[in-house]
Amino acid sequence: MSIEIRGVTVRFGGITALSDASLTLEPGRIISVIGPNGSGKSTMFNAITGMVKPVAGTVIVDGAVADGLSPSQRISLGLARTFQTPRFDPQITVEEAVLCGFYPVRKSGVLGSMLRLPKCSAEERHFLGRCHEILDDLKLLPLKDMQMGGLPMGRVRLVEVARAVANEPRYILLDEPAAGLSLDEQRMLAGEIRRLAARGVGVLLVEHNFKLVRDLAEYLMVLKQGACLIEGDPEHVASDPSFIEAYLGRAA
Amino acid sequence: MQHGLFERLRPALIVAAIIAALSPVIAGSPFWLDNSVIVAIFALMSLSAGMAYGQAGILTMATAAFASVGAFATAIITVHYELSPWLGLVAAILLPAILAYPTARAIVRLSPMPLSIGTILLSLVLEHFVREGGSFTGGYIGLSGIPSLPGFDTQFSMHLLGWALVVLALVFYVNLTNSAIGRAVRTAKHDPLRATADGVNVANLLASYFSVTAAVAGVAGWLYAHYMSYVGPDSLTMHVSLRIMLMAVIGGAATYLGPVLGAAFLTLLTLYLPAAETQGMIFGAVLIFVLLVTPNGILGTNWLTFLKPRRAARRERQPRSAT
Amino acid sequence: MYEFVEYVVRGALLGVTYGLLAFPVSLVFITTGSVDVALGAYAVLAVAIMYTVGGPLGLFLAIGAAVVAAGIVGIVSMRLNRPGAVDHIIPVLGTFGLATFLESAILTYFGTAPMIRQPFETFWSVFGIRISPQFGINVAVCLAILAALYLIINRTPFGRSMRASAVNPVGAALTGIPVRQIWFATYLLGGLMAGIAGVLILFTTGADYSTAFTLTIWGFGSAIIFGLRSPLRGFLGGLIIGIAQALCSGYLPSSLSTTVPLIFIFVVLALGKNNQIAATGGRV
Repeated sequence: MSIEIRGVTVRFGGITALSDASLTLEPGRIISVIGPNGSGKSTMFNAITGMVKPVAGTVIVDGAVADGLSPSQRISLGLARTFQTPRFDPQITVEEAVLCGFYPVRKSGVLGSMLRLPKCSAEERHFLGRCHEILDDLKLLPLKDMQMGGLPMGRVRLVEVARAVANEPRYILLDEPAAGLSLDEQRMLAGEIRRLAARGVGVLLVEHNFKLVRDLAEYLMVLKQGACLIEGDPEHVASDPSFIEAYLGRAA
Repeated sequence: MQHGLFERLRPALIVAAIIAALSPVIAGSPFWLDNSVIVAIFALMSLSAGMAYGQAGILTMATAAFASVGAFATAIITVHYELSPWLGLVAAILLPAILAYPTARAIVRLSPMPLSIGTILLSLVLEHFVREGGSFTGGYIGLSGIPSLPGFDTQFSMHLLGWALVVLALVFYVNLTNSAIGRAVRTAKHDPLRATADGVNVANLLASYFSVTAAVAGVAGWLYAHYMSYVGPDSLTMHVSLRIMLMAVIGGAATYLGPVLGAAFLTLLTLYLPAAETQGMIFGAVLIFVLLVTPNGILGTNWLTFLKPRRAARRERQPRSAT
Repeated sequence: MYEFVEYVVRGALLGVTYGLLAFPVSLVFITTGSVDVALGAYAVLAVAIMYTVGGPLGLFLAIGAAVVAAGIVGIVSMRLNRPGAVDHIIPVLGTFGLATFLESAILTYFGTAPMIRQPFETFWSVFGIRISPQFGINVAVCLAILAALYLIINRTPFGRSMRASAVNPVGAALTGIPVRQIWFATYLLGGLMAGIAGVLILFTTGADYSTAFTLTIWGFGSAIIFGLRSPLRGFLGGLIIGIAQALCSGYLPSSLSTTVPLIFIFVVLALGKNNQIAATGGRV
């Protein structure tokens, strides 16, 4: 039981965005990928969720090769992701945004929803209840009727996390969730990530905030220009000279 | 969001109440009953267009074409095979839906403008098939002698049936909009990639939704055929589709009651126009005016913001579905 | 064989006018990100005026009217489609409204009769194939416009600003390029070309009030075959559509001849990668 990527290479035209990357994400673990801008972190997410086609390599979800699956099929396998730049309709409310995340676990079809069969009605009630629980966990419940467009960026990122958590994924890919968050919000986010891991969810975290990564991640992979520069546990990585040079700069 | 039962039924109840109030007044007037049935038929088609454009972002020019498929389906079943109009209704629902799914599936990934042109092509191709269908579709002459519906042979009963169908369509529409599917459709309209990350198979979902809108148009076509007792190649053309889209947009395509209001407004407007040729000019002008003043349509606009100072207006929450 | 060549020539004759309509479709699309579906209506407006007035004055009035109509559409579209706007569909809807308006106006003032003029009685005979001198005029006009357009887009400051405002309207506006004027000029240019196309159509196949949307479809179809982003390729697309149409009407039963080219465009739309919503960029 794990997400495994083996030797994944992605090219955009002549540029190799990700070369020969391999990584294993197990349930309940928090793994972080860091690296400068353009080092291939988001591309790795896109390759895992099937939003770009790798030219080489394999993505394996729970032992089954997922290469031929569409993004939506992969999401239904129990994956969820957020975007580096949150993508949301500014007009919808926080509550509706999170409710959108329940799509993969819904059972009722178009006809059932139109007729609002008792099953569909019960499902909607369940979603609404879960939605409020998730929002409450992230202290977002008082904001539930706010429009997304009116929220500060930190809150928007938390809502995005809530939306990703909604379908009870077994693996969650978070793309820079802490960018622009206040310290308070960061703490809330870290708490949520730990809660997720404790529930057995595998968390793959792309983050620039090294302090947060150091606190959370059990395993760390550093990308540079699409290739893996170094990997290992955070303390080991942090003391590695090549990492210090590439990431924190020589002066550090 | 409309979570409560009453809130979900409100649009349907509003229409039902207005019709209940109007029915005794117009019951004695064949002229107004006739117009009422026409408005109901156009309201159904306009709802179909409003669903496609307002919810799924598909600026469809094929609404009348799907209505035409429904109308011809029931005409062929009742005239050629002399079967029950109720069987015709089943065909008028299923056939447009079955036709719409694969065609929409093929083009729904296009960006909005090419997609709209794709629906025009679809509409033109269907029109040609009707024209070239020989005695099966009646060719250039069309099919006449379509029987009236058993039990609904008076104008008043057709008026009630037409509006009952509108009310029913509204109930289904509101239910669908307030479900996981409806939310996914809106996400896909706004940002297909975001919808994909939510686990939505965007092409499949939008095509399914489009096929539901085609079924609604098919019901309108069924009603049209049995009310007019005639359907021909020039009855429900692409120009009618365009007019229907104008109705939906003028009333407020993303709202529940906007398309109904738009259908009533434009149909009644034509009663007071001097000549048929100038209708297009009036419709075009009304559309431009509405788009310039209130791009979300009459019911899609929070008119209160017009009364408030600018800055407060900007902060005001824009309604998704006003009624 | 002669038959085949004759169909191809006849198709090409038709195709160059589609090509002329394909230019503005692409031009408006690449500069403003929107589509002007009223183009066919400008062309029919030019047809009607040229048919009624005739002569050099008619030519001037016809093309002038098309440009003025395009100008009105441009003003309205720009009110609806501000640079950097996300929703390009509302201006498209606006042009649908204006197309309806123009069509109805043409119907009201010029009636339903088909409008066509055949100025040439004699035909050139090239290797036994009869070619109307009109074909020569159409091709010459199109090539001249093609050349002028190429120079305008690639060699003049206006063309540079146009391309810049197409790629990034907000960025272009910030560097001082008058994006809105450029947009407006693009609409006018579109009207000019649609007007010229209309005049040629009057002398080629003719038109009536209801042709407007059909012309838009053919122009759009021509523009998308090789991708909406290149006006010059749109011209080739026009030739292909015209030839496909002529061959279909030549070899297929009449019941299919009008449908097959439409289905052809539909299939190109469905299969083409050019017009799809970008599923993912490099950075999402």
